[in-house]
Amino acid sequence: MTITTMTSVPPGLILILGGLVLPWLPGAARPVVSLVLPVLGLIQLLLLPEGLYAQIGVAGYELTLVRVDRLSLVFGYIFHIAAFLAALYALHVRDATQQVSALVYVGSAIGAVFAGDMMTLFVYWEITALSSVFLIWASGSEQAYRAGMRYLIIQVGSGVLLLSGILLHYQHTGSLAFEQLISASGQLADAGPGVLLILVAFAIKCAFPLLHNWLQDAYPQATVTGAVFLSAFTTKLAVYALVRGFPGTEVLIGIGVVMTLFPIFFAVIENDLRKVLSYSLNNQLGFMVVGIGIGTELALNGAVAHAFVHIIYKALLFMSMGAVLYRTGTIRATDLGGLYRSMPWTAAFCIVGAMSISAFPLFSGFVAKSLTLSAVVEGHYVLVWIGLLIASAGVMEHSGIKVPFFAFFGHDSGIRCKEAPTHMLVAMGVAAGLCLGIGFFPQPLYAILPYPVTYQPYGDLGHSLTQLQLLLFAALAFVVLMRTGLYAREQRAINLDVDWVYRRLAPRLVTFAMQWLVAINAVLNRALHHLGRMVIRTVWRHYGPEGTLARTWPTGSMVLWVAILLVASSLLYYA
Amino acid sequence: MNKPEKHDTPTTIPAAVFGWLAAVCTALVVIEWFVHRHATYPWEGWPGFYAIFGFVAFAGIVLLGKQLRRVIRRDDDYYND
Repeated sequence: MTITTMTSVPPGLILILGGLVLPWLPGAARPVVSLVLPVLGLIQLLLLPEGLYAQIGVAGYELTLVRVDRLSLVFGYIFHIAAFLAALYALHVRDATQQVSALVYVGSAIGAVFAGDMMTLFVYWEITALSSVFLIWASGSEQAYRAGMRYLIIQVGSGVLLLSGILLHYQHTGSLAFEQLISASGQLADAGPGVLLILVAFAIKCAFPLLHNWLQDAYPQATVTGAVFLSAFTTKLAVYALVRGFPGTEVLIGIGVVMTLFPIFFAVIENDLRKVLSYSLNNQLGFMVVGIGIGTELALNGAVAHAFVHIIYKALLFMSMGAVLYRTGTIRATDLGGLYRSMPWTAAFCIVGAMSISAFPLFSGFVAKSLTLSAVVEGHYVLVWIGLLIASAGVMEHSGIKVPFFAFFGHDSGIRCKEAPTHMLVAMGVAAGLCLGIGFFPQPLYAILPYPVTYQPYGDLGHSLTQLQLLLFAALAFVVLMRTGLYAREQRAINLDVDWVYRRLAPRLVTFAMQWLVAINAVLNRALHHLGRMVIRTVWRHYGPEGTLARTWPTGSMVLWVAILLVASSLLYYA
Repeated sequence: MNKPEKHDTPTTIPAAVFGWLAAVCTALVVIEWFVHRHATYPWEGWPGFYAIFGFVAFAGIVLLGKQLRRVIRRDDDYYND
């Protein structure tokens, strides 16, 4: 690595600075600028040689603002591509808040993957959280406001944990460099408390099981275009951070498998189709986490390639569902159906995204997922292999079939609307083209992965055949279940998830505790009152108007008593 | 309120779609005899392994999902926000 002073601005900063001057530009120019900035950023990346840049000392800490290597570059490329596609999709948006927050969000995510030290990473990490929440709040509803608040608290919380971890780690090692943090053994038991805190911070942003629910809570509440931005960056920044810091961490394999499996059951019964996509996103992250846990070059390539293609097809799926929401005003499966008549192009692009995520041969998901699955087979993780195969059938269920079927086919909802606006169709078309292009010609993608690739996805025809069998027999199962009435029909309802703990249980517990406190307070009050009355009554008895000590004595009796006392004292004296 | 809704025209899949899909699936299993497959695990070599796996896994996911729904399903306005 060569250390060079930076001659241009750090990657990502172009977008952040562009975002900050955006409000002062005329309204019509803003969408165009949002579109041009990612292109400029991408050109900058293509011209940037690998190395460490912009090393500065701040308050005694040695910081490396920019590190360019193969891992950061591949994430840098796809983040710029996603930013361009999402900006194209959002060309109609005139809301400056959304435009600014989207650019700052994207720019900080890019800055984060190029951060050479963890303090810089932390700063960008928090900016992504703070800027992205406006894409949720921009929906304007009370629901969106509350979901955004929960999202913000959890995301900023992840940043606080990250900072604590970084400081502990620095105290322990004296280094802020963002390198591999887990020891070569891959065992968490060998890691210090700082490293564990950093892992938890990454785990929250990567939506690990039980830490996942901010994703399904917040993303479906975002604006039509906001969800497209959100789907691409936050969680994939976490995947990058895990690849960088925790490759080969054994515990991640098991966590990843659980992550691929549990969301599919929630997706089956979910009515909000953007929420189905959010569960699907969680399941896809699981595949990447498995690859990171295995940690071989093949597996890490698989995780990175999966992140790359996933960003495109997941954005495409969110775009198509966003277009449906934009035109019909609803995204509930119960209210939709038969839209292929009105939105044939959107339906077609959605199906391309669905086939890509399901990993049909010749689609992008296949060439990426095959890398990870090969690494699983190579490492002889039999149970993991079975788990991922079940999860693949699950992907076919929720993203491959459910999303396109209930939106565009199924029963006719009677909704007749216009096709999506042209710029949305173009964005979806380009994304669909990329899905197919990478599926047909995976070599350019393989060439930019962190490690050399010798794998040939189409080298073994049997592999493509068995994958087709798996997927089409899954589709057959769908048709059989539908025709026999056994399929989980769409229902207008919500399903509880971990968010129930902080949306219902915790408030209930607080209310319960408050009620107990009030009750105890009342008992104490009553006891005190009683005691007070007893004291007063006693005092009253003795000193009150009828009390012995307060009685009025007649003057005569006083004289009598004095006389008695005198007689008594004289008797005593003379006796 | 918010009871499970039945559509006026229930969602069905035409018999023709079922027929065509079944035909393609059958063809895929037949082709298996003529394509060399590199099987790492022994069970991968069993005829129709992936086909049966795909069908059973899909059906299992849906049926288990329905059981999950019995536990976690709530009315739309459950959280009242």
